[in-house]
Amino acid sequence: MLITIARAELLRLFRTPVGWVLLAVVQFVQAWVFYRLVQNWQLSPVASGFDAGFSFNIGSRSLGSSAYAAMLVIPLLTMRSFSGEWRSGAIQLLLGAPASGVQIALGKFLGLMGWVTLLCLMLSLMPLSLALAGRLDTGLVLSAALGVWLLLASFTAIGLYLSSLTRQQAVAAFAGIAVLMLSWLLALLAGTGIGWLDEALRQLSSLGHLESLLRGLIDSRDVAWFVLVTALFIGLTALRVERLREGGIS
Amino acid sequence: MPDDILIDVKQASYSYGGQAAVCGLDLQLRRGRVTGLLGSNGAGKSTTLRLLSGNLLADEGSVHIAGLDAARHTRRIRRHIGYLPEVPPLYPDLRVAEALDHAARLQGLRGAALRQAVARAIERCRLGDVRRRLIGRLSKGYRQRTGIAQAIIHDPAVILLDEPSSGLDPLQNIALRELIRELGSDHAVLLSSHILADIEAACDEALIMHDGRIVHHQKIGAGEGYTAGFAGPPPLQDLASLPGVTGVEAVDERRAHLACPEAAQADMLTALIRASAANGWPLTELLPARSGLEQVFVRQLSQRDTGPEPHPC
Repeated sequence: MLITIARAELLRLFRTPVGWVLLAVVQFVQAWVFYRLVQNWQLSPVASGFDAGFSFNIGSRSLGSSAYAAMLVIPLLTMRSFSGEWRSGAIQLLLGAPASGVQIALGKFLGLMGWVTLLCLMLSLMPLSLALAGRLDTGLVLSAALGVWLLLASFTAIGLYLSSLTRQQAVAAFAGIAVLMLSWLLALLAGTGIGWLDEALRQLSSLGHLESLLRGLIDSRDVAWFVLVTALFIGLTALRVERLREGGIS
Repeated sequence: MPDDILIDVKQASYSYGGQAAVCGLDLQLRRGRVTGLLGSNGAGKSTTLRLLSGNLLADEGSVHIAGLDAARHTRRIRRHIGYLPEVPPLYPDLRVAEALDHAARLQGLRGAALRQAVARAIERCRLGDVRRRLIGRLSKGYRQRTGIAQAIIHDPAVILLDEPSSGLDPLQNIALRELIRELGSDHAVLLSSHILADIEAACDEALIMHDGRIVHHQKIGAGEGYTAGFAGPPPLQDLASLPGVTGVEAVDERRAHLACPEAAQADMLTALIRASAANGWPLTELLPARSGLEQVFVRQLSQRDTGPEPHPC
């Protein structure tokens, strides 16, 4: 059942230009950032902050930059999942099937994660190509890629939930962008000097948790944070699907 | 409960935020019978179908589907139900065969059973020519048929069709009626419509719905009389005195319905035509009234509209 729902979700994503265009957009953003980083590196190899060579300064950073692009792109991807289907009436096919709310929510999430995984693989190619230029810290780049993958998983789950709340695709998309932006801004606010507040803001910000993974440090607390956020929003989506079914939608 | 009763509804009610949509509904659907649910827009037809499909749970009363309580077995009942909502749930970016494959998998079919189910649905709904086409590019008629094919893919015992003929051209409509008749031979089919002709052509019995209640139940069959049209107002007294006529009723300003048992029809028609020529009220049309459903429908609705407000749920 999960695979059936996931398969259809993924197939439909690539049947329309949306899936392809969004892949291209993120790839383009990363390519541009990558180019600028290479340029900077050539000018002053170790001048830019944390010194871990070009594996971090080019590879990891270009991956991290894609997280910003993803904030805008993921909600555009997830808005179709429930809002679009709800509006067109196609959602009735799933609601009328002998599938549970968890199966529907998780199935759709896994389908979208197929796209996200493909994106992360593509994003890793450019940093990994640095191996042609020198001694690349592959572990560092893979850790950063894992971080971006986990971050995008949580973005996808949040987007999916917001999409299940409204039948207006535009509302779902803008709400998604707003929520993801907010979670990013929280990290910027962490500089108040009040210890506990700064800590709380850092903990609540998704990009804060990405930071250590980008530096090659796979901290189980950060991984757990992403997994928990993702699971929380999939769970909320499942509850919402059950409510849509029982309360009836028209 | 006898085996052939597939849906049994007792005193079911449902309201949307305090406004009653369906009120004290009693209904039984049997295998091998096509039932029509007739009513004006907003009469509660779609809500009734959603209650029967398990997509809505009744506020009061009980709904049993294939012997299972719809309130308790919310997932199990879905295997017995094929439901086509008013807007068919279709993914425009899938091909017809892919959509049917997906629908069959959602119903838990795999392997040979899956392939058989898809092939059978394509054959029954005559989708063979368009199986590789994207649903978004299909005509309305084919889209409707794809929706029906999705609904019947798992060979459910009960088929619920909500206004399946809306937006179809006459030829597509005739094909759809044939398909519904065919499905009715070994399933219980409930068809909702506000178009009399659809119900008369495809159904064995009709339920008339008004303000969330079923106000009339009638079998549909041939030989229950004729509808006669006249150049002027129908001469009701003359018509009533014709041999074989058991009842006369004005349909509108120029037409009347003549009730007449099948055995007396030939005599009645001869007498009618003679009297028309002799008495100077020329006939302009004469049609066999298949069921007199139109008269009943119009009478029920006009009575309700002028009569006292229905008792609230």
